[in-house]
Amino acid sequence: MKNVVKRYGDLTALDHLDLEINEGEILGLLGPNGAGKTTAIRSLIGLIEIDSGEISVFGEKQGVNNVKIKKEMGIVTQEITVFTELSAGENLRYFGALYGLRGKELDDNVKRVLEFIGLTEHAKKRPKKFSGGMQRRLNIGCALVHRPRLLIMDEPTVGIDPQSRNHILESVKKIAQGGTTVIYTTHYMEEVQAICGRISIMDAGRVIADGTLDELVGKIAHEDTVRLTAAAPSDALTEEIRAISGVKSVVANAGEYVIISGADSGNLNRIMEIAMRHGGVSNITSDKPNLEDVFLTLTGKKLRDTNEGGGES
Amino acid sequence: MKIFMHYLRRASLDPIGLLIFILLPVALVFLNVEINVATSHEIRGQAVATNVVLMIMLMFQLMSGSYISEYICLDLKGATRWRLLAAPVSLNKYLFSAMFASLFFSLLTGAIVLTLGYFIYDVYMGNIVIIIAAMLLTALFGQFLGIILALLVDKSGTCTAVHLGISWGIFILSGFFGGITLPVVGDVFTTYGTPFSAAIRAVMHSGVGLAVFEGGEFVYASFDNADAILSLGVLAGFVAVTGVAAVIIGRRRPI
Repeated sequence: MKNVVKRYGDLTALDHLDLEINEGEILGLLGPNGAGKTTAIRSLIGLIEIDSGEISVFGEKQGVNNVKIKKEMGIVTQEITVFTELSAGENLRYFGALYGLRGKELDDNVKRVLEFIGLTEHAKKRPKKFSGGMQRRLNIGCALVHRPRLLIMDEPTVGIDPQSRNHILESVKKIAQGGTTVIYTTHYMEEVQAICGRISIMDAGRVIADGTLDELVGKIAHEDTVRLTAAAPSDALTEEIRAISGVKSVVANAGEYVIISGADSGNLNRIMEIAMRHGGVSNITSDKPNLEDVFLTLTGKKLRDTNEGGGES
Repeated sequence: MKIFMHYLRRASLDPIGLLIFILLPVALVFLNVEINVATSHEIRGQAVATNVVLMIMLMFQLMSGSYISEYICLDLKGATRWRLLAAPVSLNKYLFSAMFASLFFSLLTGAIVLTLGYFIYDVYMGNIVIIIAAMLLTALFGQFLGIILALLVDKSGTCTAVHLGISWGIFILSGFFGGITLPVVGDVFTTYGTPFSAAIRAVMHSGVGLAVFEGGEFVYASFDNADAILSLGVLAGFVAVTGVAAVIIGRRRPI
């Protein structure tokens, strides 16, 4: 995607977005709510028209209803979008047929995907009788029947148990090992760290950082992350911490503070002092940064709870 | 064809839909005919049954258009739409497949009601070509109405309720509960002024409703094919206007 702009009235959803995905890699796409991830994905798939810029997929220019490119893509939606009145096998057959599969080719692919997602024994059962994890696996399977070259997964593990999540993450790795390019959006940093070879962080409609996990963490290696739980959180406490020289970011959420500060700046003591004046702390730690801290530093927002209240900086 | 079969399969697996659109009209026919025949002079039985069967058949053609609005809302207005539209299939293909599946169920309902009426109550069919044409056009009107409502309303439950409300409004205007003569427009609604009244008029003038009591029995002798065809033409006009409206609204409020 080169210099892509998409506006909805006064809102600029994509602001000269540049995003490149190499064939065969798993790209983690991160961003707070409203960063433009969904618009970027929908533009990439050809579901919405862009105002300017250029999108090309596998060397071909993308546009709305470019059937040739659509055939090469699969999408796993955040919501479970399978037909609950049809069996698992019927769902897979339908989605395979939408992508032009017929006869033996369709049969073979449905069988392959059922094995891959571990639902062979449940092929004739309806998804409404499945557990959340099984429904998620079927949701992914429906995007795999036609063997897409590019698979877009939009938060595919929302609301499932750790065992099913691990199963899905392992599956994504296998899919990529089979040569499929994967774009993976999630709110779970540990998932990105576990499976993505490269990570792009989006904010305000553009990519603000891009690289491997080590490269991104390296960008703020000269900073420390202080986490504290304040006994009496307040806006005044937040403002005082923010005013300390060398503090780059303060995110407060229900008494939990995450503070990014220059390494070896001695700010830990200053933060402690201020917190003690504001009612004390029940817990405080100082660590080297991880991916979550990179995200926090770059966007000023936490990834998972941007809508859960609390102050942001 | 695959998408059409998909919607047909889903509709056939919907027990409530089948109950409402297949069993209910059949039950209503039995109930109405039995009550009306029991309270009427015996000789009027066939005429009563004929009217009940054809009236209920046409009513359900109009109402069963709510099938398509439900599928449009479920598939093309919720989260599923991104998955479906991401596939190399055009939006129109989904819409027309759902519409034809819904139309198929409408016509199946009509065929079941007519067949039962014919074999059980000896319903007089008049000109069967005109009856089938009226059935098809009324069903098409119902489908286009369903598409328009689905484009304007997001929730399938609301869509179905509005569809049924409009349908009953049309029945009342058409004189279902007795003739209506309004200022200025007079009896236009009970003659050609609604799709339902035009359909009823076409059917009645094909011979069904013009029975005369002669020599101790009803004779279906008075045909007025010209009026029947005129009524069909008016009905076709309603279908065309609704179809064009569906296209225009679809372009202005794309899914």
